Amino acid sequence: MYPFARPLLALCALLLARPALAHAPVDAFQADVAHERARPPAPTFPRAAFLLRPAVVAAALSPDGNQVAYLREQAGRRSLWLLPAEGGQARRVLGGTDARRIAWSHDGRWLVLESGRQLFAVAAAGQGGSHLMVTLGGRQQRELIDIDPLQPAAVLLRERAPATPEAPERWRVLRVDMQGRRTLLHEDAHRLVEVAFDRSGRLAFLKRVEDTALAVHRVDVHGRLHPVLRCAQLHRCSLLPVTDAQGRLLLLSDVDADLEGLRRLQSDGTLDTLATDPRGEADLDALALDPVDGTPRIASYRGTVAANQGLDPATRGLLADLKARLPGRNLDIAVGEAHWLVSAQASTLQGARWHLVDPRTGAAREILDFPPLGDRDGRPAQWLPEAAMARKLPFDWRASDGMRLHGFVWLPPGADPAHLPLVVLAHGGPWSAARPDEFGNGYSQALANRGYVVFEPNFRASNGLGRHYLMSAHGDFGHGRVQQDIVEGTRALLARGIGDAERVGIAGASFGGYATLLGVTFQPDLFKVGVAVVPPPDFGWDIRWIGRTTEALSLSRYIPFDEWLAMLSLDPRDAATMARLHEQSPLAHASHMDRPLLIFAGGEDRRVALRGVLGYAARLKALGKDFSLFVDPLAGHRNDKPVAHEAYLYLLEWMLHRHLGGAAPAAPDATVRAYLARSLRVAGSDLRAAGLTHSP
Amino acid sequence: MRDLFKAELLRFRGWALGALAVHLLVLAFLARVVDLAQQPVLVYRVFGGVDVLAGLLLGLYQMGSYRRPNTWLNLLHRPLAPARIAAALLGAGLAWLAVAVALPVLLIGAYQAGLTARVVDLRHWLLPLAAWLLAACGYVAGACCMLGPARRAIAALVLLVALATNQASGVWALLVQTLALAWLAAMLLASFKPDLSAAPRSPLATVLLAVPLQAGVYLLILLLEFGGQMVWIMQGSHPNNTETPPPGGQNETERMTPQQRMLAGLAVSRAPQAPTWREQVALSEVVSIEPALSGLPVRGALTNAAPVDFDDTAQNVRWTFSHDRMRLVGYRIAGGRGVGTLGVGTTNGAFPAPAVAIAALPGQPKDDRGLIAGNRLYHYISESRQILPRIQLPPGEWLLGTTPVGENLAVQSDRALYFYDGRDIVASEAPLRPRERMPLPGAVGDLRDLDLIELVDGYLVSASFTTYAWVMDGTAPYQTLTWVHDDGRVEEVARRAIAFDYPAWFRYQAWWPSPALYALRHAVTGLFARPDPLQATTPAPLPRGIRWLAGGLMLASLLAALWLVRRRELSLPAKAAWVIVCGVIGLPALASLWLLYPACEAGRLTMHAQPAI
Repeated sequence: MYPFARPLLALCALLLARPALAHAPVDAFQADVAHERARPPAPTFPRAAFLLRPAVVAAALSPDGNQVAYLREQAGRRSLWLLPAEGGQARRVLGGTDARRIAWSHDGRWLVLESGRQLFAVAAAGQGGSHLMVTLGGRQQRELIDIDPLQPAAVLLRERAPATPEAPERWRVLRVDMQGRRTLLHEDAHRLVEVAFDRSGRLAFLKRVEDTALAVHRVDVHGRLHPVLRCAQLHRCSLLPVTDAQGRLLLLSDVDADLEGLRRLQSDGTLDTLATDPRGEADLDALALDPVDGTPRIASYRGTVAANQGLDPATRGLLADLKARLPGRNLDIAVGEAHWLVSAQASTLQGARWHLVDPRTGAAREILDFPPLGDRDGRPAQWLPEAAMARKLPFDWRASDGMRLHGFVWLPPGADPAHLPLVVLAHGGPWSAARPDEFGNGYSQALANRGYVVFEPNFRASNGLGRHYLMSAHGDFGHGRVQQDIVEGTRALLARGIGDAERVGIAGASFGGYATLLGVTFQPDLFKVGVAVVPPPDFGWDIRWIGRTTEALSLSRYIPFDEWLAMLSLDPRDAATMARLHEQSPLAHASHMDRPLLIFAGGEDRRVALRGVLGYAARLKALGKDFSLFVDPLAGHRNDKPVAHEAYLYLLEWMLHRHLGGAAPAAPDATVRAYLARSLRVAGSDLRAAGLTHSP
Repeated sequence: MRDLFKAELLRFRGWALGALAVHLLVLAFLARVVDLAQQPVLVYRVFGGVDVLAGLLLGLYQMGSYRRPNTWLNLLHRPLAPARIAAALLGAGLAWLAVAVALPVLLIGAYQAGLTARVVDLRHWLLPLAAWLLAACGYVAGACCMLGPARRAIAALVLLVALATNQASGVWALLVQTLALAWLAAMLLASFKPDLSAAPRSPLATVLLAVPLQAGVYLLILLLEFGGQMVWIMQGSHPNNTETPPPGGQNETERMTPQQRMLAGLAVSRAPQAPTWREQVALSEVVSIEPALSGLPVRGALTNAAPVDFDDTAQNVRWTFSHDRMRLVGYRIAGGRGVGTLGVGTTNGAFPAPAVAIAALPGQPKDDRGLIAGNRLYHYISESRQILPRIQLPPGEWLLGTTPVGENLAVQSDRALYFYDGRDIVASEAPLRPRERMPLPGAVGDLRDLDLIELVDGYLVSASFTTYAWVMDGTAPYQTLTWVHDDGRVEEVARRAIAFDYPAWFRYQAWWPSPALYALRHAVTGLFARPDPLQATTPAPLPRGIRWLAGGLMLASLLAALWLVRRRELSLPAKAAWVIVCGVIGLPALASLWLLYPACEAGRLTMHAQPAI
């Protein structure tokens, strides 16, 4: 060796080591990575094992805490059961129902079953008289607001009295008892949203839509309204159904604040903050209320970690016990007098586990531990072993404009992440988010099981992380700030030694699919392959299209669609904004798309127009690009067909295997193959290599 | 005359009363199971056909019994003018037809009006008269056939064909039937003479017999051509049923799938986007726009061009459109109890035109319905039992149907295609405003296929105008592709000329045998009829060769007439008139001359020394 070679090599080693030295202090993420690397590698599980569904569709604790009602699916039928909290056999109350939600009446004698079209009252105390309470939807757009929080057995509904050529439309809030008797609580020319009662049961506050704001009014004893709070510019303010003992309104709100928290409206119109995320990063996600008087007992936050906060000393003590008994779990708690019902989740835990907790002793007992059901055949299956599952690690990075952003990383256990292919899974929305400590739909876990690092970035515009986080995209959804967040997050992760920079892919659904198209169009040096599900190829055009369809009415339920988007800096009426989005869209730059690409679309998609996807595909085809397209003519924005889930996972694996060098997927069975063949519209070289051709 | 009339009444009383009973039973049975007043036009055609046939058989039988020479001479050998004898015989026949044909219809109408909540409008009360007129026309036509020489029988029957093809409606249809009956009666009286085989004696009688006879010959020529076409079809080389249609022709276009049709249109497009559109068409589900109405309902029409009632099963109500009230009239499906009338809006206003129910607008409950009335579309709301106006097209346009296109709605009129936002349909009950309007690039009568795909920036619409390309009424077939921009601009991006599949002589086969009778046929078909906007076409220019063919035939007829009249005993003016008529009308006139004055008649004419004119 030359005499100067040794010091030169030492210098080179020092230079190469600089990125690592920059992060020399061992942070939590590094510790998590090291922990994952030290775990034993997981065996490979079949695809279908990641696509199970729980047998318990919904569960609800009676206000006295002595019974758990649950909807259970067996052999394709859904039935309603009651389980005594103190032990004993569950009793089937209803043999067949299409309900998706259940709730107890305030007196605990009735169960209210909500399906898409009706509310059904089921007698739970042996008194008889189960029957249809009221139909939902229709021209009246009748909706359930909530169970009446103070009346023994009633629900609160809102409905519309449609306009006639002679009279404008009106809105009503109604109380409907279990016999279907209606009591009008308030009628208004403005759209009514929520109501709150004082502890004597009198309607004390209501929230209604006024222009582009939500306005809260106090209702005096004569029924007259007095404005007390205006939640404009998409500030959130959700009323709690019962005021505090002094008659003050409680609400979840981010008015005059960044994070949404539990607030109290003072008589002078100011808002006190009663609870907010102790970590200072997340909005208040859920509240558990006292079943007797509606007092908030537990606040839950889902930022980068799932956390619960007791709102009184006694509850804080009980929560601490519970955390000790169920460590590392994301707990969703319903408070009853005699028991609590706790749903526990974790990123390594497939499906939720249900526990009954005795608040007097702190003892927890697992209940409803039925085997999960296969996604496709509905037969009893087995949950994946928690020990072999990857963990969802929180990951932060600083964007180039200085904003701190959050995301999650799934690492295959027992592997050196620096040499693994990396897949970016961008969430939809964009006003949505990847949540902590959740197993999710199984795709991320399945990819991790196949040896991929999975990155789920919560780019700006993601929700649940405060108003600033939500609004800071400033409508820059083209090839701009938001996409930059995804790219910078990916590069930050690579810079931390996670993932092989030469083997990075991107996938996502809806807005995630759009980000995928942007990625393979504008960042081909980073993203080597893309799999886009229901992707709008021009975000601006798509929201303009939605604005002309009925979907606009459900997307912006209270604020008119165009105004709602305008407040998110995406005014569809603003030609300049729309032109900018178009100029930065994958549609306008189809000629730049040179990466392997797979697209899925639904013929009945009401959120991403099929015509847009087909227009984009036609451009790619006319340009001679190599891509593949699947269209399920009966699928909506969400494809609910189990076979589609497995087909999607197979193709995702196939594309990543072909272009990132991951493990080759097991061949699909005949049903999945037939589904793919039916849905295939354009077979690119990847699909031809998989032996897939279209068959009508 | 009265005795003869009575005797004839007595002669047929058994048959007539039997027919009355059978007719009444049939109608009563049907009235129990259906609302006879609201049946589709086919049902009325069947009833009308049976009425005509019954009359025809009666006329043939009645006059057949007198036609033998001895009986005929015995009948006429009375101290009564032949016309009065004819009147007595015909009067009896017509009276019995009134009893057997009209009376049951009247009784059933009275039952529906008096004992049910069903709709009985003024137009329904005219049905007994219409039935009688039809039966009477058949009856007199049968009598004419029997009394005249067999070779001239077609002259009477052709008037029945004219009745079947006439497009008049309501009281105008009755007027046409009355005129036909009058003509037939005049023909009968002209034939009611001692020598039944004699040629007409007066100019008026000649015209009365000759015109329908010429029309009959014209009809026979058309039937002959039709027969030839059947042979062509059996041979297997007819463009309609060859395995592979002639390339580039009308049949090929019509047999294409909507997708293939759009691709064929795009193949000739020079638009820079055409390659991309071709790919998109290949990837897309092409939407075909189908009008809900094939015929426009006319207020007061005796028959129903489109369904006039619909069931609201959620409310257990059948709604029937009343032409008198111009509103819907409802009754319970179960029980039949009336529930009142329903008009537009809260004022219960009248519809501007007869309303036809179609499917509910997209996004509306399944028990709701759309109602088309003239240029407007209404929304029938089952739940609140309301009818609200939703779409109003410009005055003079006819709204023909709606088709959901993606999340939006396409509305076709006889002049344009409109696109409405799906959100507006559901968001409120307010009248809708179209986002785009595409004028139809041709006449609606010629339009056969209207297909479209959704583009990112609008719609690509293909319109093929081939409906009547096989006859002379239609336009020279073509296809257009129109880009309806998202901002409302309309741009034609392709126009494809489609070849005729049939030679000109075939397409103009109704014209060249006799342009004059072709014009007469059109005049008779449209007599007292309101022009049907849905049948509006832009006929292709008449080819010069066809003009020459028709002119040659007319000249040949003229020359043949010159030759023929010299061999017939006719007055000079009559000869001149026949020669001119043969020159103008052509072959059918020449045939009528030969049929009216056959060679064997010459001797008889000479014997009677009766000049024709």
